[in-house]
Amino acid sequence: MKSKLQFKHIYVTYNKVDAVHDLNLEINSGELFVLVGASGCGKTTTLKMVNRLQTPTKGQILYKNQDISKFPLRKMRQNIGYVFQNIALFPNMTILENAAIQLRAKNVSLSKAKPIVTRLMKKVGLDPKTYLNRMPSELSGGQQQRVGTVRALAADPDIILMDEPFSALDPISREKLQDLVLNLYNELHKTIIFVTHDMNEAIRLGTRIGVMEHGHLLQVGTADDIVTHPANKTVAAMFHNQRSANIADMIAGGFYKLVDHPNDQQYIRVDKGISIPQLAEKLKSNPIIFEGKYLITTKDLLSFISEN
Amino acid sequence: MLNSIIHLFQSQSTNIINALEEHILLSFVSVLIAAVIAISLAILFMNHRKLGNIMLQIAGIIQTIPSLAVLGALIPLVGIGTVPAIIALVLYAFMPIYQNTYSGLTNIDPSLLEAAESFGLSKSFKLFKIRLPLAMSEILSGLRVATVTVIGTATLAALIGGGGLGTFIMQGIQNGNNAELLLGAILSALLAIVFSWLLNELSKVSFKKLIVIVSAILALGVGFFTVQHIMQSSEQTITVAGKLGSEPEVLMNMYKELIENEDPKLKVQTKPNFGNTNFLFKAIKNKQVDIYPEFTGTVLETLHPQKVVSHQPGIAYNDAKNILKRKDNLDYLKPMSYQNRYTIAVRRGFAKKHHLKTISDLAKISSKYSAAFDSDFYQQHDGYQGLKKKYNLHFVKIKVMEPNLRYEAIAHNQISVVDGYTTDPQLKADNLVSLKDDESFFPPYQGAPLVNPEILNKYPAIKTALNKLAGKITEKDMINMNYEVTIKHEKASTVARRYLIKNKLIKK
Repeated sequence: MKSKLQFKHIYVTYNKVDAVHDLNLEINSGELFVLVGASGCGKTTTLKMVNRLQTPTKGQILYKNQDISKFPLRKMRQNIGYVFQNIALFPNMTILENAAIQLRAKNVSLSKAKPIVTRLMKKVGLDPKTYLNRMPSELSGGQQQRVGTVRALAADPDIILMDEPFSALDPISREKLQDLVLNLYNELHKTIIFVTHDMNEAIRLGTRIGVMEHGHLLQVGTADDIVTHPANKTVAAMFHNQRSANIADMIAGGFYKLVDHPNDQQYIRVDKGISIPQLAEKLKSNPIIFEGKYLITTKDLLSFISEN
Repeated sequence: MLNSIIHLFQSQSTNIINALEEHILLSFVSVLIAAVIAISLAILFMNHRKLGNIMLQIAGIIQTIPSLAVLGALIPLVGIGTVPAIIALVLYAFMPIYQNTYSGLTNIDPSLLEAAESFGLSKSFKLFKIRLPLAMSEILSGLRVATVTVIGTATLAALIGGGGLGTFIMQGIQNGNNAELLLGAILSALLAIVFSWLLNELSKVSFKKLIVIVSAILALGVGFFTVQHIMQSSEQTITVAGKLGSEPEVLMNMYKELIENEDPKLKVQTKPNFGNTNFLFKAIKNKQVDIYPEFTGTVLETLHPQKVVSHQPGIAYNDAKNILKRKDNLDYLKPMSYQNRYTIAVRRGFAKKHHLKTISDLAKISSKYSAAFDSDFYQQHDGYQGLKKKYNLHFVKIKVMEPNLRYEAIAHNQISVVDGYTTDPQLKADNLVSLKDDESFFPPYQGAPLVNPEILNKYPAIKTALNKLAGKITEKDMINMNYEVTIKHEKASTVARRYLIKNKLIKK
């Protein structure tokens, strides 16, 4: 996969303190890259350097091998979608006007923008007829952030930046919107850079994850890599909780029965990485077959839980 | 009181409508200019916080300067009339509009501004579609405060010949006519309430509609001005003005009738209640006014104070005429008969009972009676202090009172002697007689038209017309006319015309 966005020896320094320290990172085209870390770790600063809301003190950022500081600023930003932590819909504009704003920036008229917005509204599960002419204040937080997502997608940008977009939402809306992001990602294959402090969210969404702390990028890898092979104790501690609930732990602990040819149609087949609560949900109906040979029953699960 | 206000409404309806129009126009133009300047500056400074805050300080300082001081300071710079009034009002309207616009534009949620930045919006889009609409309710409330302030302050415009509802307030104070004073005050308060309500309604309208409405009002305003300007410039007009009060207004209307009667091609525009002596004198020197009636005594005591003023009216007039020609190059045409100067008045019955005709007669019995004087008259050397020595007056008691109260006091028999002016309508209303200044103590105050000589050269008919009043109008005539206008609320133009026809100075 061709490398699209490269951070080369990036430093951001405020009052002699490095908010970002010697950042070297490559994000590939079509990747859903998650930057994760506690607040103040430099992840949002890193995100904002992509659309030059933040300028690096030192270092270079390349996009398709060209220094992004050389691009005309407004034109460059018009090709980058952005979803904000506090949603930031303009309260004086209708949903349609809000969603079409980046298209308007590119001199597309509102009437030409309308069909594009309508199509995307349907994709995010908001009925265009009901919502296009409403004001943002008439929508719930979850609905507003769906509009925020439509707004980021409407101008068909190359890159979408998402800055803790779901942190202000309730857990149910958050999960729904995470599903929405995964669906949109699978369908559109945009490059998405997603910032979060929630390790769960990072694991759930990221094709790759970058872990940051105190301005340092500690580790870059897939969720599996990071959970199973943390680069150091800090990363291990961050992802410690994520290790508790996994089917792999049951297999490793011997909570299964080996079967040779599981032809019984009533068995449910599952993939790796399935969590214990998800497993329990499925076991309510039928026993489970994992990797074609491990048979797991409700009894196995109960034994696993009681012994852990 | 209510009755007299209603009566005023009926008799002065044209004047009231004119004053209302002037007031609205004055306020509207001032708020408009202030809004354009203040909003532009706020936009200019919205991204330069330091400059923006410095501007805020300056606006605050301007706001604390008393409005009268601002008006006073403006006269030497721009003269009198509408222009300084508008400038002063613009200064007052500036701060609330600037402060609200600036705070509206700069207190926008920073995340919205960051969002606008992130989507690559143009500067004008950010300003007109985001910042201004978000600041609009604050801007409108600033406009509301400014409008209310300006409508209130605009009453002061009357002081410098700017017109408006203040004219009624000034006249009311001058004539002790509370109905008139109240009328001006109530109308300006009503105006403020109405406009405040209108602006409040406007704040509920969407930004787009608001822009449409504002543009429509602007277009109408500009159209109105243009039409007015074209209409004005198409005729040759002579401007006649006068000080506050009924007497100058009657004279102005006589001048108008006489000039237009003499040469029907000439159009005369009257500007009543143009302000006090200094404003008017400056205006005629700056050629904003062509003609106004002035008194010989005022010329010799106030405009060009002389050490010795002749007590012979003829000599005093010639002195005044020569000084005005020499120092100001103004022509002072022939004077009328009456004098409007200080006098001492008593009730008619009192005069009869004690056989009083002159002040000397009064001196003989003064030790038995009390007097009430206006405070200026009481203190001045050319007032009571000098008079007392000249005639050897010794009243039992002297009360210093407001000019109107002393008339009320004598009307109600609470006092026997008052000071006054020889043409005060109250002399007639309260049935008083003024005693003859037999020792010629008071300097003569004869009225005559003060004219810009360029106009006389250009239109010789004016001189002929105005000189018809020479030696005419006795004190009794003038008292009657003042009485008809001030007390009976007749129109000054009607009263003036009636006199001219009766005395065959014009044809019917």
